[in-house]
Amino acid sequence: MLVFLAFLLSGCGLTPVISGSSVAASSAGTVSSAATATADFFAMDTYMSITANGTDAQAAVDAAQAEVYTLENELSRNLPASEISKINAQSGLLPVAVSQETFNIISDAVSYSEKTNGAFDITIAPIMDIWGFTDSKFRVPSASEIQAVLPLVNWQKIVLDKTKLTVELPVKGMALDLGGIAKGYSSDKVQAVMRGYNITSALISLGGNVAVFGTKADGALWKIAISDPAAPDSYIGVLTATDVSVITSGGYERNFTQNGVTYIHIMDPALGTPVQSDLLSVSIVSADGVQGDSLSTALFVMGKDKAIAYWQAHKDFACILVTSTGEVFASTELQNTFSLMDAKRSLTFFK
Amino acid sequence: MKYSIYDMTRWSILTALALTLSVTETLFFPGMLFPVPGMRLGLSNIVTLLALYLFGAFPTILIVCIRCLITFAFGGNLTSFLFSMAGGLLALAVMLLLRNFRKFSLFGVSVAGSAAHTVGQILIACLMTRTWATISYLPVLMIVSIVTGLVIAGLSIPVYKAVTAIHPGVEN
Amino acid sequence: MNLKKKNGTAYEPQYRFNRFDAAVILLVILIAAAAAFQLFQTTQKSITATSHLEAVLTVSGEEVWRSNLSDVTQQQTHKVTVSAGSLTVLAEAGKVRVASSDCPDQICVHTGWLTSAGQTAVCLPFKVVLKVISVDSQGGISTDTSALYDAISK
Repeated sequence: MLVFLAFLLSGCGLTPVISGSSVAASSAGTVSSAATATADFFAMDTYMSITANGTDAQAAVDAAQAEVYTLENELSRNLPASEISKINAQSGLLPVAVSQETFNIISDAVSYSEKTNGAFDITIAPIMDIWGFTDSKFRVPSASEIQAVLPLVNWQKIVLDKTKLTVELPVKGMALDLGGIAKGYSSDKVQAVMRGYNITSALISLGGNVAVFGTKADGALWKIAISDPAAPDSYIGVLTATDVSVITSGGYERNFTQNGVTYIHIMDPALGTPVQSDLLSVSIVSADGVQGDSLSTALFVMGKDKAIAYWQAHKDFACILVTSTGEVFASTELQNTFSLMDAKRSLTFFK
Repeated sequence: MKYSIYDMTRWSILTALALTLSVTETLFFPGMLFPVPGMRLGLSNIVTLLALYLFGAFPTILIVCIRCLITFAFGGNLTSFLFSMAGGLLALAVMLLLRNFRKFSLFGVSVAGSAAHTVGQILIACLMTRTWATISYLPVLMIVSIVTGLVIAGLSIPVYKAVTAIHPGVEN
Repeated sequence: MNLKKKNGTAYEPQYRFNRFDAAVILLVILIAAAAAFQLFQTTQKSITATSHLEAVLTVSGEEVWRSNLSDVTQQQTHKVTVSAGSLTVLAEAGKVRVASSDCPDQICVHTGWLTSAGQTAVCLPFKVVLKVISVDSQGGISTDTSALYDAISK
């Protein structure tokens, strides 16, 4: 009996010694080749980082960077030559012919507007302008200003012609801002480009929109941390995954404070004012970057309860919500892959 | 040969006893309880202990070795053979030392023997697995061996008394 | 080697538990404790990493790239693009250097391999600094979180 106890005791506390040696980072990259290449650059008004592992790592990364620049030229509202700028310039005038790609993005955006009942709306541009988020000259507009501009925010008014590939904004003053979807779309495109190269894995971070595929050198999955909305340099937890995009929306990065009140850059399309959400951040985990980007904004606008209801109605993505009280809610499929950094925080998985 | 046939017969009996103990201890304390296959409690140390006091060092060494060999010959594996030898011989050496020192009672000698038995087995285990990992079991097993040692001594005393009562002088 | 005396055995065993026996038991306990303590120390050490070299690249003071030079087994390159051009860093096991740069004076490239903590290569026109530091995460909290996650979604 004593011996049995002895065995039990020895069994539980002492095995770490044997497995401890495997904790050290294994640089046994082995298998094929080559190398790891990374590139950092500024684009789409944010800092981007692309990493690839594998034989063609450098070529893949270079191609990815080039793709981002190309997309920026097409989609950025801030570049006058971009197609979006042309559409905006022609508001109330004529339909504008666009590339298939631009057309696809806009119609994707419209379909998400429909799914989320307008919580996500790319016609929000005029509102962004009067709040000063476009040129960073922040200001708090008056109620009448907002009322004057609000009718221009209406995704249902966008006219898309599939056969002619044209986009029209029928009311003068309407404008599109693809900021809420461009990065997601870009990360999908970049992934597609990179997969065409001989690489084993890649990590793409477009201003905090993270996309990963493949497994790392030692066969491990990628570890993606979710930023802590309340503490910029910290994170709330880590998600272990691959072949997904993890896109987070929150007001903590772009905002301004006036007279003690903080105004975030995520607007409520129905009101024309920054969203008063009970959420601090929404992170969408999905294989589709466009979905991740648009839903992260939409669910943030919806607030916790409606966001969970939306997820329950669709369930084709996973999400992590951080509330204003610091609690974390995550959809049930992330149970085994998402863990908190600080065990004292509350984490609830919802079904 | 300076040993009589009587002596050798007695040693044989003790060897048989050691064998029996060695085999049956696995019935009461299955080898699976131990971290490494082949490790055992070492009840046959009772015999080693007795033989040391009754017969002396050389016969005891013989008894230990023959006991191990026969166990191995009759369906043991090389691993348990090595474990038995390592444990048994180290225990013997330590007990011999303590016995000669004459200050320790059977309890002390036995505890030292059991502890040495454990250490011997763990060292062999480390050698075989080529890693020091098995040493992690040392602390707990050492404590256990204290208990085992005391028990063995406790069991040996009446036996010794009985044997010497019948054979006051175990010599020619 | 005949140890036996004429009457009785050579070594008369004592039956009473005495202080020497207690000493033996104590010794065994001490050995067990020492072994346990030693094991505890070793487990602690295997969890916290020993110090290693890291390369840190900053652009205008902001960190843009970091690499654990002890983990580098194959060639690692990193390209930084600033408005005036780009600069490529090359890391191999235990060393790092500025491999190429678009800057006019090429001082950063000429600095060559950085192999120990404290060494730096600076590209002044691009405001890029490559330096090697020694990171020791022993003693609890490590300020280097690069091993805890690969990217942060924000």
